[in-house]
Amino acid sequence: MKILVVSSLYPPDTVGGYEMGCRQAVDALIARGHEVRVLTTAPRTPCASAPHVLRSLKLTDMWDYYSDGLSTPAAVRLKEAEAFQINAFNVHVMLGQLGEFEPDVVYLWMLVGIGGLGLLGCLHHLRTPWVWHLMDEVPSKLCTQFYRVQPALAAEFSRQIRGTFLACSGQLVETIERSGIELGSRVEVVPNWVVGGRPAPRKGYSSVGRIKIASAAALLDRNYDKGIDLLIEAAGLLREEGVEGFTLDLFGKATDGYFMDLIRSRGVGDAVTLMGPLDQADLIERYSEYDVFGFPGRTKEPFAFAPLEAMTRGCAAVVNRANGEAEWFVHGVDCLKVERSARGFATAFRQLIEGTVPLESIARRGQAVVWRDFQLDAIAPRIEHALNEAARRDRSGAGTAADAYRMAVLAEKLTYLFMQDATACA
Amino acid sequence: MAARKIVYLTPLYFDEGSYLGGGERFPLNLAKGVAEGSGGRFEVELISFSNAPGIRVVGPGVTLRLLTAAHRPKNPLDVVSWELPGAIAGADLVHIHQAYTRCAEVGLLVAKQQRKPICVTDHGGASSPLVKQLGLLDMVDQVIAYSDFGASLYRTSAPVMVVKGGVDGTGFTPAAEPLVRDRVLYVGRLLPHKGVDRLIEALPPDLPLTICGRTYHDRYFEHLKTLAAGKRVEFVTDADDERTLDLYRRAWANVLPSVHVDCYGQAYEAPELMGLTLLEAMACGTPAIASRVAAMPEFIREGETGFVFDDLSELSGQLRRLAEEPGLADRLGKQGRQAVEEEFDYRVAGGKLAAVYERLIARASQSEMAA
Repeated sequence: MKILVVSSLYPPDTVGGYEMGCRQAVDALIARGHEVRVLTTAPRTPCASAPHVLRSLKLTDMWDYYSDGLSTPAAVRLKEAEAFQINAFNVHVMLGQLGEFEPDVVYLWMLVGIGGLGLLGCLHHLRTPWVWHLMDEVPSKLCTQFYRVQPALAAEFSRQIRGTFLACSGQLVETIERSGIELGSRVEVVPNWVVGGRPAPRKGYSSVGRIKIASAAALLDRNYDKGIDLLIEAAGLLREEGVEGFTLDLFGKATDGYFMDLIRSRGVGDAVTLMGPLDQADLIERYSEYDVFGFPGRTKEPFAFAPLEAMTRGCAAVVNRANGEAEWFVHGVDCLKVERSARGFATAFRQLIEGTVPLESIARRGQAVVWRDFQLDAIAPRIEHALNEAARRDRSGAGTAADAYRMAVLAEKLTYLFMQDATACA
Repeated sequence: MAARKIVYLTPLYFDEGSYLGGGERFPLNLAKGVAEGSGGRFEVELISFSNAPGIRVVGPGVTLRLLTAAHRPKNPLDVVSWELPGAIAGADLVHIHQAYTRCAEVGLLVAKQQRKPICVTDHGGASSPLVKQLGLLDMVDQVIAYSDFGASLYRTSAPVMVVKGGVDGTGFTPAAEPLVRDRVLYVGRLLPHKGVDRLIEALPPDLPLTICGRTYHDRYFEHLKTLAAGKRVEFVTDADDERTLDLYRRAWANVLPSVHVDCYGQAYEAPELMGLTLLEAMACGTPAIASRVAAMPEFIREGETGFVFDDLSELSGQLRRLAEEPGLADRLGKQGRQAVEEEFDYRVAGGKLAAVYERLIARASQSEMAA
């Protein structure tokens, strides 16, 4: 198949696992003999790209918290509209690729930051078959204006945007549909995955009473809401209870002194360490030095890659029970699921430290399950099947590229005018 | 087979709560015409906007659905609603009235995205340049003009056709018993491009003139009153339909003296795309007189249903002749009524539109079935 992949970010330009997953899926499809072209944005900082990666879309950077903090409300609204709803330039670029590459199917990934709703509208108009891999609430984001899902946009999304959705968890599907968006009947839950070779069997674990806990996020920043603060608070609770036998190492980039201040204020500087960012591959290897991987995630994390990756190295995972990845594991058998709170994590850590729950057997069973069920090699055929089915859809009645672009320009101008009106009325 | 549903999208509607003018009355007339002229094969929902949303029946097969305006725009033609996509979702075809407005732009985008067959008609109102700037009419299935002059103004690759007329020949009728004709009449909004000042200038001093219409331009209205001083001119600014009908029936002629350049030097490319008031007068059995401007001459058969004038002295002569020549006004009025019944009645126009809609819906259905 000729597959055009569209993603706002693509490694090495990333903010999280979504983009990493995209590259892994692309590599797997190429390895399976497909002709894949990736359409992504010009990088935020210079980077090299493989020949099949075209960095010609324009990114509206929604992860530039510094600039946003200095912007006027009107500027932020306009930026959101360009990032979520419509960017006619990007529609034009995608139309060019559809015309030149003539893909059998379009494989959509992260669409925030490139006017994703307009791109979907364009594909709808052209009756171009697509599969959208969802690892976040992107459909809801694309229908968001002024920080809430606009019901009329959600209704139109539900009415018109018809393709195949691959969602990383049932929880994610429920969350999207609770926001007013119906994804329709073509939704398949495909879990996130791990890649690479299976490591040599782990020799052993720390002894009871002295365990090493790790956690990680691409960006530890509190705005990213990965719950790192809860882990530090949990460490503080353990200390208050006189529990000493643990260390907590936090990997990822911290953009300010918030977490360091929190560590100091809780008096856990000797146990909790900000490790800074590591290259993804190095980070995964590093997990083999730890016994436990704690991961609160966001309030409802769709399905984080990090716990899976840590489990491949034999870490016992302690995860927020509302996270998407929790759907795939059994509490007390191959992971621990806890309430997303400092108390929830502190209790689980204490049980592991004191040996009242069997750390090593949970970790080893978790590791076995991940290598058995979550390898990309095992999941790629499902993705391929979905793409194949979509590619066979009839394209009769397709609109023209000229009309699609004209509509995009109109939508962009109208959105700009409405944003101005709304701001003036506010 | 269930009736096909046509949506008419119009920023303004003919109602006490909205504007008054041909551009607002006309879509309603056409809606009635399509419903009646198609023998029930089509029902029409007029969609417009209001602070008091709701839906009501306005005639057999015709409903008026008022959507909640998203905001109060500076120009009323720019009104839009978040409810619009849902409102047109069930339509078999969308006919957008007032082509060059924000309302039309949004309607075009939504209807096109929903793969609806789209017709567009300009009624002379304009509030936004985007339709022309972006060549948006190229996306529509059929442009429908109601005069040859109007058709000549479109710059698009989309097919343009002309469906003339659309007057309510049931509501506007001659009196059951002949009435004494005793005045010259003007019916329409009191705006500079209507050229009412020229009519007052041309009015022979001994002939009475009734100027019937709402005021939208204070300065112009004062100008008209100044010009009328010493002449037999009556202003009626609050006439209801019944009073207007009575005035039509009592007139020697209804005059529409619109201009390309008004008394203030303001130029108008298309001051009249039809001149609905001319047809209303004809429907009432009253001759029509119009300046040789824009589309108006297309609707008057010179010397048979009325007159067209090139200068004010010619207009003066036509008015005097109709007032003084026995039987002339009645004869021309009778022929005018006949012309309405045969060509310009809304049911005649509606029947022609229904044929267009049928063709476009059939084409769209074939395309969807293939998909």
